[in-house]
Amino acid sequence: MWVWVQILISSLSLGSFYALVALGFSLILGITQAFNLAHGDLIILSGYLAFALWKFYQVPFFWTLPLCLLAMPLVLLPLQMLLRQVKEPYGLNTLVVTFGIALLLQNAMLVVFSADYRLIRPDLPHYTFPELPLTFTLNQATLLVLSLAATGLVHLVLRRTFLGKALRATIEDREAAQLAGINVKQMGLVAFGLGGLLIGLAGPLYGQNMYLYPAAGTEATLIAIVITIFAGLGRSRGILLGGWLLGLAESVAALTLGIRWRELVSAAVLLILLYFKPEGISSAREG
Amino acid sequence: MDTEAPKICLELRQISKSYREQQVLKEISFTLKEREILGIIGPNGAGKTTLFNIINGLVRPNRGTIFFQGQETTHWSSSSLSRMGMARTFQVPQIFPEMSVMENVLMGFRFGPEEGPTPAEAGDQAGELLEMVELADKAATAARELSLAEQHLLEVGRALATRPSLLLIDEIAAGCSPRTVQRLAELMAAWRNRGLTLLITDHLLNLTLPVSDRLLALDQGEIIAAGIPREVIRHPEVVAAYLGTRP
Amino acid sequence: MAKPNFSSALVAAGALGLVVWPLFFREAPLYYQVMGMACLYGTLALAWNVFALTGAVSLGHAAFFGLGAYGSALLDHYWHWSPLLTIPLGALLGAAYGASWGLFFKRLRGVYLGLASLAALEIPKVIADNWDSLTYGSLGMVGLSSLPTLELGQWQVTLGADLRAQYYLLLAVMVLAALIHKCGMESRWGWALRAMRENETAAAIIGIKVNRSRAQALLLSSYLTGICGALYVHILGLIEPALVFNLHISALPLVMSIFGGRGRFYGPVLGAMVLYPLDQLVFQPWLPLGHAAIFGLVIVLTILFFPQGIAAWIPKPRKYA
Repeated sequence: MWVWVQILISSLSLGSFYALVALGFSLILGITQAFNLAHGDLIILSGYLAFALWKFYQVPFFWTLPLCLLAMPLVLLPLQMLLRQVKEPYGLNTLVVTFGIALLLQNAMLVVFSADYRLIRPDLPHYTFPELPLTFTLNQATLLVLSLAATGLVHLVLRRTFLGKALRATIEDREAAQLAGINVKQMGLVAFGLGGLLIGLAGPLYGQNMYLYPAAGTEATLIAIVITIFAGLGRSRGILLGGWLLGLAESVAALTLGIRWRELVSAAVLLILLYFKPEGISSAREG
Repeated sequence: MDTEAPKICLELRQISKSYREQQVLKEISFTLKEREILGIIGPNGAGKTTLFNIINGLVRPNRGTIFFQGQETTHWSSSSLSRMGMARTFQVPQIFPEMSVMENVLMGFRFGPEEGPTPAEAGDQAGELLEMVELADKAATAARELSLAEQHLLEVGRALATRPSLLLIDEIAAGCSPRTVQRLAELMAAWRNRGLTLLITDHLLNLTLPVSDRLLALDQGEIIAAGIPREVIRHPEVVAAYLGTRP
Repeated sequence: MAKPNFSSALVAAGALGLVVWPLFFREAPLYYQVMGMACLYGTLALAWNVFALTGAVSLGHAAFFGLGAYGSALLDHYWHWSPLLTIPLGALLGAAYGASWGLFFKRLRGVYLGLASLAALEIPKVIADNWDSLTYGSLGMVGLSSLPTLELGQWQVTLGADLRAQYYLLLAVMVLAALIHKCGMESRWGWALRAMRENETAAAIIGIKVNRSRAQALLLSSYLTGICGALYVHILGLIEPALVFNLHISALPLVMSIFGGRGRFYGPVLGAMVLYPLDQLVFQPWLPLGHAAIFGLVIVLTILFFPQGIAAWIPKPRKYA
């Protein structure tokens, strides 16, 4: 029975991280309608950056977080300028362009870091609860706290600030927002900037908890897409819930079917979601 | 004198449709005889396009049945209905944007009820059709480069190429000059004389009025008047609906 | 007519070139191998494009490639049938998966179809990786039969070992695929696909059976892709999940077709013949590890600057004017 509590703990921390991963994707998609298939690869890039800082420049792990956080928007903003040049059909064309960018990134990272699996090990302690067969690593705690903090912050920005209101209006109805005087181009910049911050944060956290390897981005992108379709665009609470549920599904699958089947969970969930919601996110918008 | 009653082309019985709590169509029933031109009028939002979408298989009704050429076709898809002889135009013209005007019409010939003639065979007929809708000089232009009115005409031409028995015309007069509207009215009468049945809708009355044999007035999802055009447009409910004074 | 057959002349010249160049390079096993694989990828690109004709952009075609590969490899490994049988039969596994896509993805379009195809790639990959008792899991299988030796009259053609013969075989397969592609595009069915691609509502309204045509295109596409996978593993002699269920294999036909031009029947071939040798002979020596990045770069540039592909630069007379 304690196994289930253990699963719950790891699902919670992993799930919160998944929500962080999905949030950036959902914001960018909602505000600019760009489908960024390279989302996961950008997170891996950020992770590799943190790894390089930690390994080669002896930067303590906790300092890599703000560094990557600030570095990634510098990558995302040129991407936004590139994607602005894409013509109709916008969704499909950005999908293909970012597919190409993902390919580029994966190969670039292959050259620089080789195919070896990398992990950032800041040697943080485990915590065990006396009398209870549960372990809780500081890794998981960091993951949980930072993911929740970031998600919570974004939620506050969206709900309590004027900028957030403008962002939500753009997500809801781009044309109407434009007519209301909102500068949707600027909102696009904000989206990519914000997305960049979230990607920047997710990178080192990824590298600390999961193995970094060049092709790892695809799975992360899939997770972001699944949760976004489940929750809808820019809905931070739905995304958090989606993240937890996905984390739970994966942990249960790992336990019952074996860890090698875990990779299939996000793909299977996506297919099931799309079967019932063939319009993907638009149906989420209405429902 | 014709002792045989004219056949019924289309019949609707108690068609109802609601979206969430909003009831868009309430128990619509009417019959359309062959070679008749029936006009459906009503202010914007009365439910005309939804009605068309239901007849045409793009939307499922919540209740009611539809009979086309004697067959029940309530849940048929638009492509099956097309193969049975029902053609349609749209408020926003659904043309093949990258194909030329000629290619659009040839597509109409090639598909439709049974396997139609190849482009080589249909060339002359297509030319005639284009002459009729006055697009012959733009035969090689890509469809997306046409004006709105021209696209409407192209759509009609392509619809006719599929050799239909019933043609649904949805808000075609938008963007058309008075001369074009006049021409359309003449064409519709000519088509009817050649055996086509027409169901048209337009919220402007300049086309529907002169051309229709009968009118059906729709407001807020229900039929508020039916009969010959002259009487329907004077019906107090209809006037109120258009003025927006109907509760 | 001013330039009636410029494009046909170019195609004929290109085809001729592909047939006769080995006469000028008698002992060039590297070239035979690269051009042979270019033909295989050309076939793969053509197969992908058959589905793309309906307007769908599939990111998961590697699933059919891998299933065709595994279908053939398993028949070879367990029953020792000749590749002449295992290749066409093994590809049926790919086609079966394609049929299932037709069922489950019936209501999906555009971006969501693309995403579903990407997710659908994972299923056979993970199964092949984990079903150790059948597929030997991630270790894969080695020692698969190479292509058979054919006896044509007095000549013995060792397709397995003779790279030049192998090249001609792969060229022949590609030409066949190109002809199928051409017939597909120019037939009534092909026009139905084009209609669906341009405006699905309009296609339905003139009586085209949209779902059925799309499913047929997918079936043909997945079968041809499966054939490519089966050929691939018999040429290499080995198979493992990471090799055949690879995102790279999904990406390549997409890049080649879009770069080459999806509107002409020879577009995907053009893309393959230009990009693959470029990648293998120019970029790989330069960047042994990351050379595949060129494909990513090509697709980004193509979509941004010439989305119709390079074939659109070749003038072609408009047929219906």
